[in-house]
Amino acid sequence: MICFFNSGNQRVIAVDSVSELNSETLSRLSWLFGKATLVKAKSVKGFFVGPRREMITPWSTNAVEITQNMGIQGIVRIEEFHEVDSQDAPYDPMLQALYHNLDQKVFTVNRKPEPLKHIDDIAAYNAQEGLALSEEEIAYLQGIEKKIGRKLTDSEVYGFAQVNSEHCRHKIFNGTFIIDGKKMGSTLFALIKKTSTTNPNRLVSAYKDNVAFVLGPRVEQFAPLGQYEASYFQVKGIDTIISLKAETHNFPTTVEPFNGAATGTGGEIRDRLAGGQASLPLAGTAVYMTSYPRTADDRSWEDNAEPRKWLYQTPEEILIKASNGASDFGNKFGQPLINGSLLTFEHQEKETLGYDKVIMLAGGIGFAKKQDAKKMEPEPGDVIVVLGGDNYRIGMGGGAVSSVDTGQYSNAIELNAVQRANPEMQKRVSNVIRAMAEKDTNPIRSIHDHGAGGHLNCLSELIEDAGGTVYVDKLPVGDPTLSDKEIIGNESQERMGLLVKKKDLALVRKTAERERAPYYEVGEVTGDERLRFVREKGEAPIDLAISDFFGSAPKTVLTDHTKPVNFKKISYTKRDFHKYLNKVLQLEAVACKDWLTNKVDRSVTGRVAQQQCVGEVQLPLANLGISALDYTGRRGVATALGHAPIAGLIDPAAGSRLSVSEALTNLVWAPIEGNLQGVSLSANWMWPACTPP
Amino acid sequence: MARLYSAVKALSDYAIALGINVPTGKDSLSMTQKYPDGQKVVAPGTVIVSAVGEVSDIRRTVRPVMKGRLDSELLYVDFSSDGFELGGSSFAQAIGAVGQKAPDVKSPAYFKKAFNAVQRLIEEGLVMAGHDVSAGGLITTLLEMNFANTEMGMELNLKDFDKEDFTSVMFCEKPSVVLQVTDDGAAKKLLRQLGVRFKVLGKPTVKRQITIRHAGHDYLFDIDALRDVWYRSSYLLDRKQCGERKALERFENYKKQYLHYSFGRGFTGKAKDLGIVMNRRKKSGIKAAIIREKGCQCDREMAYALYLAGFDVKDVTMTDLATGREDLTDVNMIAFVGGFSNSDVLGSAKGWAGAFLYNEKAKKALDDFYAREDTLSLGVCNGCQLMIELGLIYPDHEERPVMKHNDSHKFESAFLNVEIAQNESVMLKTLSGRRLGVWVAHGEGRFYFPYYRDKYKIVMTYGQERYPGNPNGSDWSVAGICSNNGRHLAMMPHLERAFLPWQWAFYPDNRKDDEVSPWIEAFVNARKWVEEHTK
Repeated sequence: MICFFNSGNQRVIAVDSVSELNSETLSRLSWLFGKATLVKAKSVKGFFVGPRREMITPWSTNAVEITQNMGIQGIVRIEEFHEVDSQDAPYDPMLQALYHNLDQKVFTVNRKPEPLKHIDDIAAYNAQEGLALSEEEIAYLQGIEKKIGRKLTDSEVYGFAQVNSEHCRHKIFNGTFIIDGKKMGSTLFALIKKTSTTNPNRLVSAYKDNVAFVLGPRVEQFAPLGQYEASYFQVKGIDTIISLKAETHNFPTTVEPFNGAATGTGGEIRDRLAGGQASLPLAGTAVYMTSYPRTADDRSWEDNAEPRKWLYQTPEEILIKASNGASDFGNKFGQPLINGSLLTFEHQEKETLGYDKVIMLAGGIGFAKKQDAKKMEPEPGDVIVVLGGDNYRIGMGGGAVSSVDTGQYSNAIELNAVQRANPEMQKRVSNVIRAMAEKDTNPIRSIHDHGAGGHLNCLSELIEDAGGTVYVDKLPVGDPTLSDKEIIGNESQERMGLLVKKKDLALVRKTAERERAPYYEVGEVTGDERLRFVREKGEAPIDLAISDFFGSAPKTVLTDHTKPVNFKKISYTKRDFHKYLNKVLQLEAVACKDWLTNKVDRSVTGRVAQQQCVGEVQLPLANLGISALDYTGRRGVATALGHAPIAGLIDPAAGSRLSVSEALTNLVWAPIEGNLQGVSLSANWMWPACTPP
Repeated sequence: MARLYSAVKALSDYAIALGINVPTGKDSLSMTQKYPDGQKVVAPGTVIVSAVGEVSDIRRTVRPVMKGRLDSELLYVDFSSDGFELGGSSFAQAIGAVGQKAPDVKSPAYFKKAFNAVQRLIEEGLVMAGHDVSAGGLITTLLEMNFANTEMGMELNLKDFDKEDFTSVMFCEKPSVVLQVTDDGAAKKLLRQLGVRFKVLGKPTVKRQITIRHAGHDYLFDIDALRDVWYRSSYLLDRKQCGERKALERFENYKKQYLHYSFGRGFTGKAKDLGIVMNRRKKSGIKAAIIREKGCQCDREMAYALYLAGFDVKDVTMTDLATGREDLTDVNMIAFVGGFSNSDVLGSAKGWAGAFLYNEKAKKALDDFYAREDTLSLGVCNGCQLMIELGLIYPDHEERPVMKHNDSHKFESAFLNVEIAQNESVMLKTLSGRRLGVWVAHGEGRFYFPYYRDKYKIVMTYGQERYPGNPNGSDWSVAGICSNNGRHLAMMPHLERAFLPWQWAFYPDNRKDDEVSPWIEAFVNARKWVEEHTK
């Protein structure tokens, strides 16, 4: 049954419980809701905006857990509704619904999960679902159908599209380039890899894992002895490796800046948790690039191009909300953000240039024990464990949709691909991983995060070529209307997949219980080289040979000609020097970034040795960010950023060299072990690949 | 596509020539936005480079803040070996152009030499301050080196650049750096030895301005006025996140509320003088616990601060207390750590408080602990909010203080001044009268007090009455309070992130050799008190 509490300010809290609540429970709830009053009636009249009925919010999950901690049993769901004036009140249709009267059916969902489907026409399905499969890929899948003698399921086609999208497989970076009629000798990826084969320096792991590792120092680990129960902290010397990672989340941030940037930050942190046999994040970085925010009308450089009728949000809104989202995730997760960059740009000569599709980059540094640098090979019998939150209809198709230009699909498909963040859940999961990583022998054999492609991508990465079976019935489900395809493929955040030996499961489970991290044993490694997602009853949503699932390697061939660029000359007069200076100092790239640093935690962990602000006046001017590796105050990890896209417009090669150089002239201010040779880089490419320049 | 290829190829070649590697990265190759009317807006091809390196000594980090030392001079080191090109610069952008020629790095070998030379200077302790030249050019670098300080300026003579165009020299963004070094010639000598060219730009001056002489012309720059120009874009965006009033307050006050400290005469900064051992491995037998709820994340720094002060520290979660596995009987001090327990759902620390109040075992453990005479407690940030919510500081008060949302209605992150009042808190008593620096990071830190001031033991106030120095609008600028017996302390600022000098965002220059900051004294006091009361 559902009872309602009036908590003032036109807010109503609905509590769904398995049975009637006694008066003691009701009074506890009233305390919890800030002395809210119980509504005597079974319904509340009026118009309300609240969460969609089929989607239990993270807020509810937290609230229900609080009631459990308060000794209240039997609460299923708690949601908050805001009274509005009429049915015309604005709300966010992705997250919310408008309710006319709140009654006993407010959480009742009539929708049924869609049954498993066999796909008759892959090409039509591709178009209908916006899967972004190429013609070669469709032909490949048709070939598989013939080979195995049956139609593929919706889960298989959908999963294939996610796993093989540009987002996940970097088709262009592995493609062959023909420029001015000449075939280039290397792929882009080969060019990047060559840096590591030529200069291995301090590299420990590159390209293969979720992060790159370089050699780190011996430091002191300060951790409780046994983390499945209360225990005393202990200091111990450990050999470390340092992790580096940067990810962009441009598409979701353009469409829904707060959650786009928050989940970008969260996803990147999960990458740094999923290095080797587990690694730990230290600190984050953020870069934002948008078109001009037009914050005042005396900023003449912003008149260079006409403002558009913005597709989703204005650049100003995106700047504020995206940085709020990235900050909020780190603040709540407990990762300091210690370095960043900002660029706003538009230009109109022949065509309109600008970051209407914005760039949001989340990066970061971390460390792991040297002995955990490499994942163990999956062995038959290894158990697949999922830690973290439930599955919702979130981020369906993020990987595929983000690989095409924004504006190409209907808003519904694009919005469906946006994820929502729950940093507190990720913190719980992260605590379990930390506890395992701090043991003398880490029971985590292999670890991957859930990102684009959901369970499918993550769990198939875990089992590698060995093959494995995942029991769909054992996967946690937050939304009962999800089909198999949606359970397997959704991009609900804050989940990690682990491989653990049976004998170690109890330790992981006990620790997870103590940290309140949801823990599920969902499958095992089989060694039969098949990828299976099975149901207790009915047909398996996915049952394919791994070689078939990952066997498509369409050779992308890219043909282009060098086109000369010719931007008009810069003309100026020396007389106006001070006027120019006034403008330059106000460009977002140059100007003070206090608005960013004043809302983001730059000190949590107590290991931050350099963050953005310096000096008596505490202004964000620092060249680089540094996190110490322990509290002894000597050894640390420095990170710095560089980019030069506008110079790159004139000469892309010079743009690359300037970007590297800027990162280095920022990094040079801390003494680096091995000096320049001790430096490693991440290069993140954001290119309008289909449309020059 | 041809451009992407040439960009990737150049980056690869350049990294190889510099002798470094690019072990990670990602691509997002669809940076175009299409509009319903057919318009296409294309993003410039962009590569963002993140660099990482192990720092051999974090305390030797050089910052872009000019030191007020008249016995120093400013050097310019060009890493690029290129001319003063303006293409693709912020200057070009500001006048609506892109331009035709961008600067470049002509010799990777020389870049490497220059990089390693600056590293060497830093290792030898020869660099007082330094800043790179990037967005905004050399003039921005020079100004910025004076923005975060409050006094002095620069007197520069660019005689070495007399043949160059002044605007180009000032706004070109070719890779280069400015160093502040002592004027005894040591840095210059070493640079020469290492084969790195430099130009002397000039010296610091007591006047709060930058003057530049170039080709017979004198240019004057008003540092503080230009700092406001530079700050304005931040203010304009800030309005959209904390409202016009608060944004304006911040804009007006940021420059007035500079940090200054009073450490007190007795403080030496030496661990030994406080009776602590920096690398202790043995147990002390004096026990404290940190207590954390899910969503708390300031556990490790709190535990270490206690540990460094001489406690053996136990890690205790609410699940330990709720299940009765842990009852706090073997510890004499507890610290409720900060974070976002339960994501702040239903109010900060509300759910955490509920877990104590309505869970029998947890409640008993807590009540028993507070009933003892040999116990101390500390709550910081979320832990402070919890202590207030539970009424642990003034259990006899009928009406409790409340922790409200910051009056900026946003999360506030700052390193700021606090003043420690004359007080009887076990932890803070010896710090009475000090003015220190500390981190704050919270969204709900505004103390609201239902009674007059004399009903409370106010132990700590923010160093400023006005925003942002008072980050949340607390009554009487209160940052922390303690119980009448001095044993229980609740405060919003994170002293556990500021007990070591390098954790401070600004530490006094003349205290370079300090091993610990004054805040460690608070933890040491606690340990001594427990020692005395458990004899």
